[in-house]
Amino acid sequence: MAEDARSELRRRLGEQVADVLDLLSDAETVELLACYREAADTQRAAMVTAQERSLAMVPALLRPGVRKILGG
Amino acid sequence: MSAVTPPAGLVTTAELTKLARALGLPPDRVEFLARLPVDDLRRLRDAASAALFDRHRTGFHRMAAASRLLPIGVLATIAERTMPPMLAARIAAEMSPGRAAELAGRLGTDYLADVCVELDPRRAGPIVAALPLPVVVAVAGDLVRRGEYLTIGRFVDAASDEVIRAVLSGIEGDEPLLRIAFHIESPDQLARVVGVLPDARVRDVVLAGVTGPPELQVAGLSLMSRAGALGARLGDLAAEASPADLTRLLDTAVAHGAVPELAAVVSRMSEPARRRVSELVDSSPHQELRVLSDST
Repeated sequence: MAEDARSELRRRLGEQVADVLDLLSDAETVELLACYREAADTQRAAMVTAQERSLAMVPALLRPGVRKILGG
Repeated sequence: MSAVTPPAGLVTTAELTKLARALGLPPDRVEFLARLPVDDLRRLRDAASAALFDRHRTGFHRMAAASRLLPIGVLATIAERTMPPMLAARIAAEMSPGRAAELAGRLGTDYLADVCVELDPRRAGPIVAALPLPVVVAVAGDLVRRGEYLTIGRFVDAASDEVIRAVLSGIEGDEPLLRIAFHIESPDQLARVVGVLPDARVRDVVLAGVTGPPELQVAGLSLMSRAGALGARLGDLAAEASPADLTRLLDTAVAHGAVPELAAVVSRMSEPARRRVSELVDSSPHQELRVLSDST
Protein backbone atom coordinates (compact mmCIF):
# COMPACT_ATOMS: atom_id res chain seq x y z
CA MET A 1 0.00 0.00 0.00
CA ALA A 2 2.81 2.38 0.89
CA GLU A 3 4.59 1.56 -2.38
CA ASP A 4 1.42 2.33 -4.32
CA ALA A 5 1.12 5.62 -2.43
CA ARG A 6 4.76 6.46 -3.16
CA SER A 7 4.29 5.73 -6.87
CA GLU A 8 1.15 7.84 -7.05
CA LEU A 9 2.86 10.74 -5.27
CA ARG A 10 5.80 10.53 -7.68
CA ARG A 11 3.38 10.60 -10.60
CA ARG A 12 1.42 13.55 -9.24
CA LEU A 13 4.24 15.66 -7.78
CA GLY A 14 6.92 14.77 -10.32
CA GLU A 15 10.20 12.90 -10.26
CA GLN A 16 12.02 16.07 -9.16
CA VAL A 17 10.89 15.38 -5.57
CA ALA A 18 11.42 11.60 -5.69
CA ASP A 19 14.41 11.92 -3.35
CA VAL A 20 12.27 13.84 -0.83
CA LEU A 21 9.54 11.22 -0.99
CA ASP A 22 12.17 8.55 -0.32
CA LEU A 23 12.86 10.24 3.04
CA LEU A 24 9.31 9.55 4.21
CA SER A 25 8.26 6.50 6.20
CA ASP A 26 5.48 4.31 4.82
CA ALA A 27 2.94 5.91 7.18
CA GLU A 28 4.07 9.41 6.25
CA THR A 29 3.85 8.59 2.55
CA VAL A 30 0.27 7.36 2.92
CA GLU A 31 -0.61 10.44 4.98
CA LEU A 32 0.94 12.84 2.44
CA LEU A 33 -0.98 11.21 -0.39
CA ALA A 34 -4.19 11.55 1.64
CA CYS A 35 -3.44 15.27 2.11
CA TYR A 36 -2.78 15.73 -1.60
CA ARG A 37 -5.93 13.85 -2.64
CA GLU A 38 -8.02 15.87 -0.21
CA ALA A 39 -6.53 19.10 -1.60
CA ALA A 40 -7.21 17.99 -5.19
CA ASP A 41 -10.80 16.98 -4.38
CA THR A 42 -11.48 20.25 -2.57
CA GLN A 43 -9.97 22.20 -5.44
CA ARG A 44 -12.01 20.30 -8.03
CA ALA A 45 -15.24 20.96 -6.13
CA ALA A 46 -14.37 24.64 -5.72
CA MET A 47 -13.58 24.98 -9.43
CA VAL A 48 -16.87 23.36 -10.46
CA THR A 49 -18.79 25.66 -8.11
CA ALA A 50 -16.89 28.70 -9.37
CA GLN A 51 -17.50 27.82 -13.02
CA GLU A 52 -21.19 27.11 -12.42
CA ARG A 53 -21.60 30.41 -10.58
CA SER A 54 -20.00 32.24 -13.51
CA LEU A 55 -21.99 30.32 -16.12
CA ALA A 56 -25.20 31.18 -14.31
CA MET A 57 -24.53 34.84 -15.16
CA VAL A 58 -24.17 34.07 -18.87
CA PRO A 59 -27.35 34.23 -20.99
CA ALA A 60 -28.80 30.73 -21.39
CA LEU A 61 -28.36 30.70 -25.18
CA LEU A 62 -24.64 31.37 -24.91
CA ARG A 63 -24.05 28.94 -22.07
CA PRO A 64 -23.26 25.79 -24.15
CA GLY A 65 -20.65 27.71 -26.15
CA VAL A 66 -19.02 29.18 -23.06
CA ARG A 67 -19.08 25.78 -21.38
CA LYS A 68 -17.29 24.36 -24.42
CA ILE A 69 -14.59 27.03 -24.09
CA LEU A 70 -14.21 26.06 -20.43
CA GLY A 71 -13.71 22.48 -21.50
CA GLY A 72 -16.68 21.22 -19.50
CA MET B 1 0.68 31.11 12.76
CA SER B 2 0.27 28.16 15.09
CA ALA B 3 2.99 26.72 17.29
CA VAL B 4 4.26 23.33 16.23
CA THR B 5 4.77 20.57 18.82
CA PRO B 6 7.41 19.26 19.16
CA PRO B 7 9.32 22.48 18.39
CA ALA B 8 10.15 22.42 14.71
CA GLY B 9 12.33 25.47 14.29
CA LEU B 10 11.08 28.77 12.92
CA VAL B 11 11.87 28.36 9.25
CA THR B 12 10.34 24.88 9.32
CA THR B 13 7.23 26.27 10.98
CA ALA B 14 6.91 28.91 8.27
CA GLU B 15 7.42 26.27 5.58
CA LEU B 16 4.79 23.99 7.08
CA THR B 17 2.35 26.91 7.16
CA LYS B 18 3.00 27.56 3.47
CA LEU B 19 2.68 23.90 2.55
CA ALA B 20 -0.62 23.70 4.42
CA ARG B 21 -1.81 26.82 2.59
CA ALA B 22 -0.80 25.33 -0.78
CA LEU B 23 -2.87 22.25 0.05
CA GLY B 24 -5.76 24.24 1.51
CA LEU B 25 -5.45 22.32 4.78
CA PRO B 26 -4.98 23.39 8.41
CA PRO B 27 -1.27 23.50 9.46
CA ASP B 28 -1.63 20.63 11.92
CA ARG B 29 -2.38 18.25 9.02
CA VAL B 30 1.18 18.56 7.72
CA GLU B 31 3.03 18.69 11.04
CA PHE B 32 4.15 15.09 10.50
CA LEU B 33 6.58 16.45 7.88
CA ALA B 34 8.35 18.70 10.40
CA ARG B 35 11.40 16.44 10.59
CA LEU B 36 12.23 17.00 6.90
CA PRO B 37 15.04 19.43 6.03
CA VAL B 38 13.67 22.88 5.21
CA ASP B 39 14.90 22.83 1.60
CA ASP B 40 13.10 19.52 1.03
CA LEU B 41 9.90 20.90 2.56
CA ARG B 42 10.16 23.87 0.22
CA ARG B 43 10.62 21.60 -2.81
CA LEU B 44 7.67 19.49 -1.70
CA ARG B 45 5.51 22.59 -1.35
CA ASP B 46 6.57 23.94 -4.76
CA ALA B 47 5.81 20.57 -6.39
CA ALA B 48 2.42 20.21 -4.68
CA SER B 49 1.45 23.79 -5.48
CA ALA B 50 2.52 23.43 -9.13
CA ALA B 51 0.70 20.09 -9.49
CA LEU B 52 -2.54 21.52 -8.09
CA PHE B 53 -2.37 24.73 -10.12
CA ASP B 54 -1.57 22.83 -13.33
CA ARG B 55 -4.43 20.35 -13.02
CA HIS B 56 -7.05 22.42 -14.86
CA ARG B 57 -4.67 24.68 -16.67
CA THR B 58 -5.72 23.88 -20.23
CA GLY B 59 -9.25 25.15 -19.63
CA PHE B 60 -8.04 28.36 -18.02
CA HIS B 61 -5.57 28.91 -20.83
CA ARG B 62 -8.46 28.69 -23.28
CA MET B 63 -10.47 31.16 -21.21
CA ALA B 64 -7.56 33.57 -21.07
CA ALA B 65 -7.16 33.28 -24.84
CA ALA B 66 -10.88 33.91 -25.38
CA SER B 67 -10.76 36.93 -23.07
CA ARG B 68 -8.40 38.67 -25.51
CA LEU B 69 -11.45 39.26 -27.69
CA LEU B 70 -12.93 41.60 -25.08
CA PRO B 71 -11.90 45.18 -24.28
CA ILE B 72 -10.19 45.26 -20.88
CA GLY B 73 -12.91 47.43 -19.28
CA VAL B 74 -15.66 45.00 -20.33
CA LEU B 75 -13.57 42.07 -19.13
CA ALA B 76 -13.07 43.72 -15.72
CA THR B 77 -16.81 44.31 -15.37
CA ILE B 78 -17.62 40.70 -16.28
CA ALA B 79 -14.95 39.38 -13.93
CA GLU B 80 -16.04 41.37 -10.92
CA ARG B 81 -19.75 40.75 -11.47
CA THR B 82 -19.65 37.09 -12.35
CA MET B 83 -16.39 35.42 -11.44
CA PRO B 84 -15.46 34.12 -8.02
CA PRO B 85 -11.91 35.35 -7.21
CA MET B 86 -10.47 31.84 -7.51
CA LEU B 87 -11.63 31.60 -11.13
CA ALA B 88 -10.34 35.09 -11.97
CA ALA B 89 -6.97 34.24 -10.38
CA ARG B 90 -6.60 31.09 -12.46
CA ILE B 91 -7.47 32.92 -15.70
CA ALA B 92 -5.23 35.88 -14.86
CA ALA B 93 -2.34 33.46 -14.34
CA GLU B 94 -2.71 32.38 -17.99
CA MET B 95 -2.69 35.95 -19.34
CA SER B 96 0.44 37.87 -20.20
CA PRO B 97 1.63 39.74 -17.07
CA GLY B 98 0.98 43.05 -18.81
CA ARG B 99 -2.63 42.27 -19.66
CA ALA B 100 -3.24 40.70 -16.24
CA ALA B 101 -1.88 43.86 -14.61
CA GLU B 102 -4.02 46.03 -16.89
CA LEU B 103 -7.06 44.01 -15.86
CA ALA B 104 -6.07 44.21 -12.18
CA GLY B 105 -5.86 47.98 -12.45
CA ARG B 106 -9.57 48.07 -13.39
CA LEU B 107 -10.77 45.89 -10.50
CA GLY B 108 -11.92 47.04 -7.07
CA THR B 109 -9.39 46.73 -4.24
CA ASP B 110 -11.41 44.19 -2.22
CA TYR B 111 -11.95 41.91 -5.19
CA LEU B 112 -8.35 42.25 -6.33
CA ALA B 113 -7.11 41.34 -2.85
CA ASP B 114 -9.30 38.21 -3.00
CA VAL B 115 -7.76 37.36 -6.37
CA CYS B 116 -4.22 37.88 -5.03
CA VAL B 117 -4.82 35.34 -2.25
CA GLU B 118 -5.76 32.74 -4.90
CA LEU B 119 -3.00 33.56 -7.39
CA ASP B 120 -0.48 30.92 -8.50
CA PRO B 121 2.76 31.87 -6.65
CA ARG B 122 4.75 31.15 -9.82
CA ARG B 123 2.82 33.83 -11.70
CA ALA B 124 2.46 36.41 -8.90
CA GLY B 125 5.88 38.05 -9.28
CA PRO B 126 5.62 39.27 -12.90
CA ILE B 127 2.00 40.37 -12.43
CA VAL B 128 2.76 42.37 -9.27
CA ALA B 129 5.80 43.91 -10.98
CA ALA B 130 3.55 45.15 -13.79
CA LEU B 131 0.87 46.63 -11.49
CA PRO B 132 0.69 50.39 -10.86
CA LEU B 133 2.27 51.20 -7.48
CA PRO B 134 -0.87 52.77 -5.92
CA VAL B 135 -2.81 49.59 -6.72
CA VAL B 136 -0.16 47.41 -5.04
CA VAL B 137 -0.18 49.62 -1.95
CA ALA B 138 -3.97 49.60 -1.71
CA VAL B 139 -4.16 45.82 -2.09
CA ALA B 140 -1.37 45.29 0.46
CA GLY B 141 -3.26 47.47 2.95
CA ASP B 142 -6.39 45.40 2.38
CA LEU B 143 -4.45 42.15 2.86
CA VAL B 144 -2.94 43.44 6.11
CA ARG B 145 -6.42 44.24 7.43
CA ARG B 146 -7.40 40.62 6.68
CA GLY B 147 -4.27 39.22 8.32
CA GLU B 148 -3.12 37.72 4.99
CA TYR B 149 0.54 38.06 5.94
CA LEU B 150 1.55 34.94 4.05
CA THR B 151 0.20 36.36 0.78
CA ILE B 152 1.98 39.69 1.29
CA GLY B 153 5.20 37.90 2.21
CA ARG B 154 4.95 35.97 -1.06
CA PHE B 155 4.57 39.18 -3.04
CA VAL B 156 7.36 40.97 -1.17
CA ASP B 157 9.59 38.04 -2.07
CA ALA B 158 9.21 39.05 -5.71
CA ALA B 159 9.02 42.85 -5.30
CA SER B 160 11.46 45.61 -6.22
CA ASP B 161 12.88 48.05 -3.65
CA GLU B 162 10.47 50.70 -4.90
CA VAL B 163 7.45 48.44 -4.35
CA ILE B 164 8.75 47.25 -0.96
CA ARG B 165 9.29 50.83 0.23
CA ALA B 166 5.84 51.94 -0.91
CA VAL B 167 4.04 48.93 0.55
CA LEU B 168 5.84 49.08 3.93
CA SER B 169 5.34 52.81 4.33
CA GLY B 170 1.61 52.24 3.91
CA ILE B 171 1.46 49.66 6.69
CA GLU B 172 0.83 51.03 10.17
CA GLY B 173 2.13 49.33 13.29
CA ASP B 174 5.04 47.02 13.91
CA GLU B 175 3.14 43.77 14.36
CA PRO B 176 2.08 43.43 10.69
CA LEU B 177 5.67 44.02 9.56
CA LEU B 178 6.95 41.27 11.84
CA ARG B 179 4.31 38.85 10.66
CA ILE B 180 4.98 39.65 6.99
CA ALA B 181 8.74 39.28 7.52
CA PHE B 182 8.14 35.83 9.03
CA HIS B 183 6.76 34.66 5.67
CA ILE B 184 9.38 36.25 3.41
CA GLU B 185 11.33 33.35 2.03
CA SER B 186 14.49 34.87 0.60
CA PRO B 187 17.02 36.07 3.21
CA ASP B 188 18.34 38.56 0.64
CA GLN B 189 14.86 39.99 0.16
CA LEU B 190 14.37 40.10 3.93
CA ALA B 191 17.59 42.11 4.27
CA ARG B 192 16.32 44.47 1.56
CA VAL B 193 13.09 44.96 3.51
CA VAL B 194 15.05 45.93 6.63
CA GLY B 195 17.33 48.07 4.49
CA VAL B 196 14.53 50.26 3.12
CA LEU B 197 12.97 50.93 6.56
CA PRO B 198 13.91 54.14 8.42
CA ASP B 199 16.19 53.50 11.44
CA ALA B 200 13.53 54.47 13.96
CA ARG B 201 11.07 52.01 12.45
CA VAL B 202 13.62 49.21 12.45
CA ARG B 203 14.18 49.84 16.15
CA ASP B 204 10.44 49.80 16.89
CA VAL B 205 9.92 46.61 14.89
CA VAL B 206 12.79 44.81 16.62
CA LEU B 207 11.66 45.86 20.09
CA ALA B 208 8.09 44.78 19.25
CA GLY B 209 9.59 41.40 18.41
CA VAL B 210 11.24 41.24 21.84
CA THR B 211 8.58 42.73 24.08
CA GLY B 212 5.49 41.31 22.34
CA PRO B 213 3.59 38.07 22.94
CA PRO B 214 5.33 34.76 22.07
CA GLU B 215 3.98 34.72 18.50
CA LEU B 216 5.61 38.08 17.78
CA GLN B 217 8.80 37.07 19.58
CA VAL B 218 9.01 34.04 17.29
CA ALA B 219 8.58 36.31 14.26
CA GLY B 220 11.18 38.70 15.71
CA LEU B 221 13.73 35.92 16.21
CA SER B 222 13.10 34.71 12.69
CA LEU B 223 13.68 38.22 11.32
CA MET B 224 16.85 38.86 13.31
CA SER B 225 18.38 35.48 12.53
CA ARG B 226 17.75 35.69 8.78
CA ALA B 227 18.63 39.34 8.09
CA GLY B 228 22.19 38.55 7.01
CA ALA B 229 24.73 41.26 7.65
CA LEU B 230 22.03 43.43 9.23
CA GLY B 231 21.54 40.82 11.93
CA ALA B 232 24.25 42.37 14.12
CA ARG B 233 22.47 45.71 14.18
CA LEU B 234 19.11 44.08 14.89
CA GLY B 235 20.59 41.94 17.64
CA ASP B 236 22.08 44.96 19.37
CA LEU B 237 18.74 46.75 19.19
CA ALA B 238 17.04 43.71 20.73
CA ALA B 239 19.55 43.67 23.59
CA GLU B 240 18.36 47.16 24.56
CA ALA B 241 15.14 45.60 25.91
CA SER B 242 14.69 45.16 29.64
CA PRO B 243 16.08 42.04 31.37
CA ALA B 244 12.51 40.91 32.00
CA ASP B 245 11.62 41.09 28.30
CA LEU B 246 14.87 39.45 27.24
CA THR B 247 14.23 36.65 29.71
CA ARG B 248 10.79 36.13 28.18
CA LEU B 249 12.47 36.01 24.76
CA LEU B 250 14.80 33.26 25.99
CA ASP B 251 11.79 31.33 27.35
CA THR B 252 9.98 31.67 24.03
CA ALA B 253 13.03 30.52 22.08
CA VAL B 254 13.13 27.34 24.16
CA ALA B 255 9.38 26.73 23.99
CA HIS B 256 9.25 27.18 20.20
CA GLY B 257 12.40 25.35 19.22
CA ALA B 258 14.11 28.59 18.22
CA VAL B 259 17.32 28.26 20.22
CA PRO B 260 19.40 27.86 17.01
CA GLU B 261 17.97 31.12 15.69
CA LEU B 262 18.59 32.82 19.04
CA ALA B 263 22.18 31.54 19.02
CA ALA B 264 22.66 32.95 15.50
CA VAL B 265 21.38 36.35 16.66
CA VAL B 266 23.52 36.42 19.80
CA SER B 267 26.64 35.37 17.92
CA ARG B 268 26.43 38.50 15.77
CA MET B 269 25.83 40.93 18.65
CA SER B 270 28.44 43.40 19.84
CA GLU B 271 30.40 42.43 22.95
CA PRO B 272 28.36 44.52 25.44
CA ALA B 273 25.05 43.21 24.02
CA ARG B 274 26.30 39.60 24.15
CA ARG B 275 27.32 40.13 27.77
CA ARG B 276 23.81 41.28 28.69
CA VAL B 277 22.28 38.18 27.18
CA SER B 278 24.97 35.94 28.63
CA GLU B 279 24.16 37.06 32.18
CA LEU B 280 20.50 36.16 31.63
CA VAL B 281 21.43 32.79 30.13
CA ASP B 282 23.58 32.01 33.18
CA SER B 283 20.64 32.57 35.50
CA SER B 284 18.14 30.75 33.27
CA PRO B 285 16.81 27.32 34.32
CA HIS B 286 16.71 26.16 30.67
CA GLN B 287 19.53 23.73 29.94
CA GLU B 288 18.85 24.15 26.20
CA LEU B 289 20.27 27.66 26.42
CA ARG B 290 23.71 26.44 27.45
CA VAL B 291 24.51 26.23 23.74
CA LEU B 292 24.47 30.02 23.79
CA SER B 293 27.56 30.00 25.94
CA ASP B 294 29.46 29.05 22.78
CA SER B 295 28.03 32.13 21.08
CA THR B 296 28.80 34.43 23.97
